[in-house]
Amino acid sequence: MATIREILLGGKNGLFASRSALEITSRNINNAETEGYTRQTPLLSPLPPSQVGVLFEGAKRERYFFLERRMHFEMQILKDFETQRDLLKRIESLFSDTEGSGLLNELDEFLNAFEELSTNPEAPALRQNVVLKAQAFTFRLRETAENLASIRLDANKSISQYVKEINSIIKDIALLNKKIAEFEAAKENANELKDKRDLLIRKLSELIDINTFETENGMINVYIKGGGHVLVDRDRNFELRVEVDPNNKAKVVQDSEALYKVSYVDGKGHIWNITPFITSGAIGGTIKIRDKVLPDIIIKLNAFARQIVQMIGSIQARGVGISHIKSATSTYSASDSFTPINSAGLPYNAQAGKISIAVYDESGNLATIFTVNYDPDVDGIANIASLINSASGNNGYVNATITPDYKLNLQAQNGYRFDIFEDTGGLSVALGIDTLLVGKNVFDIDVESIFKEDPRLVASSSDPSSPYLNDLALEFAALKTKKVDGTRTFSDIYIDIQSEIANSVSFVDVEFSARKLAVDTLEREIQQRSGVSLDEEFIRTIQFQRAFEASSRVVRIADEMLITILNLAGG
Amino acid sequence: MRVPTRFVFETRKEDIAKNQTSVLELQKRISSGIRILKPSDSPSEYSTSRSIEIRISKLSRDISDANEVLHFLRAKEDVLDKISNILAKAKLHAERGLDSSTNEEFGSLASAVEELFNQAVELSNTSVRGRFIFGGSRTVPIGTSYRKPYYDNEVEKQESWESQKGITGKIEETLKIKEGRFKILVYDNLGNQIFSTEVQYLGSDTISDVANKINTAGGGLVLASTSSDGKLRVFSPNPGFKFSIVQDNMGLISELGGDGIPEYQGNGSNLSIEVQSALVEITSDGREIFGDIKEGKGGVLTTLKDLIDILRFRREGNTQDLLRSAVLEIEKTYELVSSLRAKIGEKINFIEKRFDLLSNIKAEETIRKSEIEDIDMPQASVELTLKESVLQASMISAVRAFELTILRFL
Repeated sequence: MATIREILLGGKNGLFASRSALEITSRNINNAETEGYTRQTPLLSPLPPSQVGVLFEGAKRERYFFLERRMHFEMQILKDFETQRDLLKRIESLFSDTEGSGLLNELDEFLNAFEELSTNPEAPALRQNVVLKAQAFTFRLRETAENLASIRLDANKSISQYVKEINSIIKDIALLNKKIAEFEAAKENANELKDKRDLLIRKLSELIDINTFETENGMINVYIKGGGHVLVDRDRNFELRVEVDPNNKAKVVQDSEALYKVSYVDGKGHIWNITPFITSGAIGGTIKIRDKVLPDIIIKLNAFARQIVQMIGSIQARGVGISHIKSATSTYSASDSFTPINSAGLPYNAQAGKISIAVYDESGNLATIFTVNYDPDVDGIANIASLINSASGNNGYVNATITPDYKLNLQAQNGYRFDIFEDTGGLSVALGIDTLLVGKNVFDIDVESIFKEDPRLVASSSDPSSPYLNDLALEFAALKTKKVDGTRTFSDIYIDIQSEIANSVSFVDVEFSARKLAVDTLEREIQQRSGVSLDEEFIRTIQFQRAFEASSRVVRIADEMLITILNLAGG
Repeated sequence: MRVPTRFVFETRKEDIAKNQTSVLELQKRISSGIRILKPSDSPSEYSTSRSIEIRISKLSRDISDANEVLHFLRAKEDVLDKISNILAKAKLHAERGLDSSTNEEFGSLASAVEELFNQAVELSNTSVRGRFIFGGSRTVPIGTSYRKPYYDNEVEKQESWESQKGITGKIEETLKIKEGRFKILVYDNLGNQIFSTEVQYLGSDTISDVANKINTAGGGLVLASTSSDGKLRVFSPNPGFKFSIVQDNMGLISELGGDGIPEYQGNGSNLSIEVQSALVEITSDGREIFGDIKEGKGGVLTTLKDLIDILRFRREGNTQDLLRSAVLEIEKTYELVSSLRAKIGEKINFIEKRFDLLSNIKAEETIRKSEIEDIDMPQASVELTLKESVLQASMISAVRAFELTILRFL
């Protein structure tokens, strides 16, 4: 049977346990809205039969490691899709034609201008219109490409920012690991520190795909999932860094600002390029858009632009306008004068063929025609110039020279003008001379300068003796319905690019919604177990308050019993 | 199930935000009237819609082309109609000639036919939207403007020539010619060319200056003078000697009226406009119908000119026979014009049908595009009301949920 002293001690233990439990409940109430806070429950256990009362063993964090790990996984994927979605929406807005003001509309108007010209090839205003529409279209193409490159640069900046955030987080995790280990060693409550660390790990998983592993002393090691590189090893952290990757240019098809690669520096100072191993999280999603989606679109848009330059150029070089050329210099520079055209670093290749030049007097009367045969696998620009000069004959109607930057210049003799009206092998397109549109790629596609100066040069007739025919204008206009790659028109090609982007946005949107639902469900599950319910805590407050009152009553009763016994003894 | 306080607030907050976004999205669609605001709203429908848009644009272009073609064809039909009338009147004059016997009667008939001839020349130079419909695929350029297909620009082997029109001011002010030149060739009484000279003039010159320049360059073999109304007269002082004025590069002589024999300045090709893959000629070689007097090719002008010559320079004995042949020639030309009219009529009919068909297809495609892209207003309005109610309900339920805490009861 317990003694009065033991009853008093039991009451004291009860008072202490109730007060401690009340303190934990109060902490729960105070942190009900604290981000990352995990509900704690008091651990009370009965004392052994030899002692009386209850023992307060400490506070238990209601945290479930497996749920947290699943959350990290889901969060990485969610952030991956969220980042992709945000960037894709920016891309999509560049390709939106719903208001009738997009690139498709400009292309349509450009080709329409040729059809309009075919109805009245004599009208200079209609040629002006063709050039203006060509300028509007090429400007829009360039602008779209520049915007795509600028999104790549923005994504690049984000990657650099994410790396800074990751470094800051892993530094804090390592620091918290150290403190937690110290607290645990001293048998002190490290719950709040663990909450902070869990919150940081969750934030880290939003940025990059990671795995975690808890060590025996309560520390958590963090690894990058792909490649297994250690970010946090107990109380040490290994930083990531961004380095310029000279092989990854913002404009993909044109020399431009180089983008970053993400590197990992291990304990021995070795640097590893881990960019390909980062597959999810915000940084993973950004890398996917920057290095896969955007280059793919730029390459397709570039192919589209080059196809247009070649197609328009090949038609223009087959006919004459109502005005003719006084002097023209090719747009592209060859590597030197003698290397064959197809090996001289020019943007387009040609085939063996012939080029015919019509010469006109100042009144527009056809003076002569001469033809030059060429082989781009043999002839360099110097050869071409020499062939033109000899074909031009003693009269020297057209004088061909090479500029210091290895361009071909054609100059008509005083009182004459010339026009290329037949080019069977695509030499004009390869050099960028008398082709209406020029450009090595989508970033520099433009209207050839001589056409900006004199829109009457736009070819509409294939007959050099009848510049007012409209057969070529009709051929230009027919590009609207021509299956340029065998199955698709120019519009179809563009709509395909547009659809691909739209489908990606749509897919990523659906995936994002599904992942969001998964994360919300998981969060609900975590909250159900780890979140603070004020109602529950208030009830607990009452419960522990009453327990405290009861323990006090036991102490008072024991005290009264003791007084009674003392009174009896004092008799 | 435990219901943590933070969870209650977060869930409600998210529900309200979701409903608000949904209402805003629908409001945006209703205000724009478009269901598919961006490609990802429905990639396949968006792509179909863009393809239809391209087809509509092509149809609009085809309709516009058909309209353009109709303008030209109707103008041509109108000209041919007028030409038929001219020929009918010319035939009447020729038949009257058969009953005439005096010089006065023939002279009067010749003047009447000359009037018809001038009308026919004017019709041969008909232009639609700046393009001469009987000039082939082009007309000869003068600077940046174009010369009429039937312009009389030369004076051929004459002893004396006076321009039909006169200019009193400077050439540039009246004719907008800045500078030009022409050649004068002189022939002896055997018809051999014995002299050639070039006369250059400036826009600042008057006709009197041009006459002086001819006198200077003419070497006494050709002389020039001017009348008070600015007409230019050129003549050969040597009896039997003739001269020609040729290579009139800026058309000064033609502007002054030439020698009255129109020369074809157009070319032999036709200009066609494509209407939905069908090429339709809008201009044609004028010689097919009007002929070429200088080249001796038959046609309306040649027929009329022959009739004028018969009436004006009738020869004793064979005038009646010539007039009978002229009547037969007029009838033949009339047949030619009628056959061309029939062809034009057929083309107009074809294009009009094509025009209607294209308009109908365009209307159908527009409806299809609208069905894909445009919002169904009644349905959207009902949906909006529903979404607004849900938003309101979620807000009310949130407020209730926030109020439900034991704290209120303690």
